Amino acid sequence: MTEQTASSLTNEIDPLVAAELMTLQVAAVIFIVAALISMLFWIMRSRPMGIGSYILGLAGAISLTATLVIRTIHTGHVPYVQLYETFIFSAWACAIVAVFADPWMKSRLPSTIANILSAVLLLYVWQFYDGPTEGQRLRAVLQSPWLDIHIATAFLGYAAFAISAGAGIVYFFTKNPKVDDLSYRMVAFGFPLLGLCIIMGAVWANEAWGRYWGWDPKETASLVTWLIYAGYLHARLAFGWKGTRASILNLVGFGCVIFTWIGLNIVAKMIELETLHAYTG
Amino acid sequence: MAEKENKNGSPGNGSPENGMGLFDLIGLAFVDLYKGILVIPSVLRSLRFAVWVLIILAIMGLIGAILPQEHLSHDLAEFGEKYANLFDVIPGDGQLSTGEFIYYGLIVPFDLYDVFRSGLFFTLAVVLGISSVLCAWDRLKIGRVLLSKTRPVVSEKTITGMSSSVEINLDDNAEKSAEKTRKLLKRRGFQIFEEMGDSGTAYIFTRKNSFRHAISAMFHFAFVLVILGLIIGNERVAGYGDHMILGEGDTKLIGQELHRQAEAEAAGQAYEPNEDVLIQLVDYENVYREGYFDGLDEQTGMPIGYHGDPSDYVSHLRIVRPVGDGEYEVIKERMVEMNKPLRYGGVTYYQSAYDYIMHFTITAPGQQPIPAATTLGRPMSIPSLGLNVTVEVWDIAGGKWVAEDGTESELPYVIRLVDYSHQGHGGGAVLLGYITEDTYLELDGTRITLDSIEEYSVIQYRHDPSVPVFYTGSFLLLIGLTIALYFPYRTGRVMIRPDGNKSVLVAGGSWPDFTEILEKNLPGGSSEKG
Repeated sequence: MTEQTASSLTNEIDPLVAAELMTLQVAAVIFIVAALISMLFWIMRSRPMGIGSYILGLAGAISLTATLVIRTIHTGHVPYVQLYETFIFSAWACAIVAVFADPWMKSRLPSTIANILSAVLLLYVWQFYDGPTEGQRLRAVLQSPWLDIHIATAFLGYAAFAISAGAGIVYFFTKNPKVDDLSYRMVAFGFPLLGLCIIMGAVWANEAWGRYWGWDPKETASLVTWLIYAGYLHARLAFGWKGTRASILNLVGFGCVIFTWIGLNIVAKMIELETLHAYTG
Repeated sequence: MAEKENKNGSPGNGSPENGMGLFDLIGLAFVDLYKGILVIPSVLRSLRFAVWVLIILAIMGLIGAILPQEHLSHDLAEFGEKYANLFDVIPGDGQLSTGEFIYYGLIVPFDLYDVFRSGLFFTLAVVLGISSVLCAWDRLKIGRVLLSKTRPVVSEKTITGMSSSVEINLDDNAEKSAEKTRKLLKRRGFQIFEEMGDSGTAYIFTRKNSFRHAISAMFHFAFVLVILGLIIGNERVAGYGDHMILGEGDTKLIGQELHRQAEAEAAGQAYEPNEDVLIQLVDYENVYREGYFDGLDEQTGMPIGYHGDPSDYVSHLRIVRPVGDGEYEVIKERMVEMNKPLRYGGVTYYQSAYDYIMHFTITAPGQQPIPAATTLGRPMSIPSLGLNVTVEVWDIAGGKWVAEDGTESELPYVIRLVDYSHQGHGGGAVLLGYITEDTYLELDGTRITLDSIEEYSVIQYRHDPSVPVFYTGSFLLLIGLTIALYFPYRTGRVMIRPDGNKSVLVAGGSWPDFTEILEKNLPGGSSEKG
């Protein structure tokens, strides 16, 4: 953090920035407590603990919603451009998906995984915080309504895949078919969302760059991720793959998600790969 | 035929020494080839094969996402710099390193440096398309069978063979229990097909979301449409595009005519215009909006901040028809910005980039002034100083400044001259100074005057007839996927047999929730899960 931003934080802090940081810190604390209670729930099998962890996850999601709204007002755009913003948005997406997945799956596993993931993301997000970026606005190409739907669907899909991958890991230890089924259902939820993200991106690319598909590394990596999950669904529905084999394929898919989100940017910097998607700091 | 001979004890291994002539061999080869061809359709319609093709395409795609994609020379001496660094290639050293081995053993044979335009990728995509059509057709057939009047058998064996099964002792008699079960399943949206057995046993086959097979076929066809769109849009098939550089006031051929002109030139034919309309750049402007930058630089008065790019790039474009005497009739007009293209005659014009040509006068002491010109980022020679100065992009503004309250004003051009000649030789970049239009910069007695700046807009144009195909395919694919995955096809089998005044229900479902529904909603005693 530069000297200037540090002093602006202490002396001339914008009320919006203060509110953003406060709600973010509150959310981080909530998710840490929720993650601990979620884990205790599985050890002690206490029903109140299960309900408590779910409610805490919901409270964390509300607090993060406030963070995102405040940052949107502050920066003038929906916050998923910088890495700092995408981490917050990812934590929020995990929490929101779990809020709906728990009752749908009749299980506390989605909220447990989401609470742990959100806690880790919010502990790590400070690595990317670069001070209040007042006046930071979007680049010309990003000034499009397509940005909102394109990125939002991507992160909601990623969140579903993350919960699915978490369930896949749990399956390795428990060999519980219900966990395996939950893992599949989360992929089935995330797969159309990722498809929507790719297609919305194609429509937007057609408006901005003159082609809907240009084999840009980010586009290709997203497509590869989608194809791997398509392989997973086919293997599961048509070949009857279940349990360990399906979970391994699921984790390969999630590896691709991580690569598409963060890994590709690192590789691109390492080997000077040109990508039109290099916006994040 | 060969098999028969072997079974009969004939030694024939196919060699002429074993009594087979050349024509026999050719005949056998044709038979084998024919058998092989017969197998192709069944291989193509195999879902397993389609998934393998999908995986190979995914791997190629992953490689294409990581490796810089550019067409490279196979000659080491002309090897691309990025690839040379990546694979540790040292041109002309006469040794084969591991990186070179990977490059020549894997990258070159499979065209992995240009994956998405390679023949292998194209072929696999086509094969996947065909395979998807065949698989989808088969799904449709399965769906039709399922929807036909022939119902699957309901028996204790078929029930316990399902993914989850349960046996529940019910308090009601068989007739009443069957009635309650029917009502429950109907409430849950199931279709019911029932048969009564001789001993009063009810056999119920039930299903939900049976439209799913047709939907599944639909989105597989839709996927093929997407692939078809990608093929049609390829510049080798029906798409075309390029860029045009337009200076302010320039009037040039429209995209389709430029394409026709290029095609005629390539074919060695004379170009004759098809359309009498032209494209004209009225004005180009960079727009800087307050709030997008930290503020104005004290020294230059220019916007500074998060990044140096303007907020918007705006080209005022017109499609015009000459009416004589240098006059034009305006047919279409649009302010083209990022995300706001101009469309005319099936061709779309996009804002791609901008550039300037800057005209200077360099006056060295005691010498005649000499003109010089350069563009952004290009070095310009100043002979009297022995320097090659570079005009920096970062500090050039020139455009419209829009304040928060909406008021607009013109920003002057301020450029920065930098000497990079010492960089990498123990020195760094040397800022020589700032210069604005109609002002000068004096360096060791040499005066550099910025006389004028010509603005250029780089417009990309593209004709892609595949867009409707791609969009239709994508839309159907998404709708189909969502319906198929969120409303999956479910089947269940229920057998209710009398047990004195009570009854026993044996049920199995294609997913665990089915038996849970019955267990929770039917009043009964003990239940036993399978």
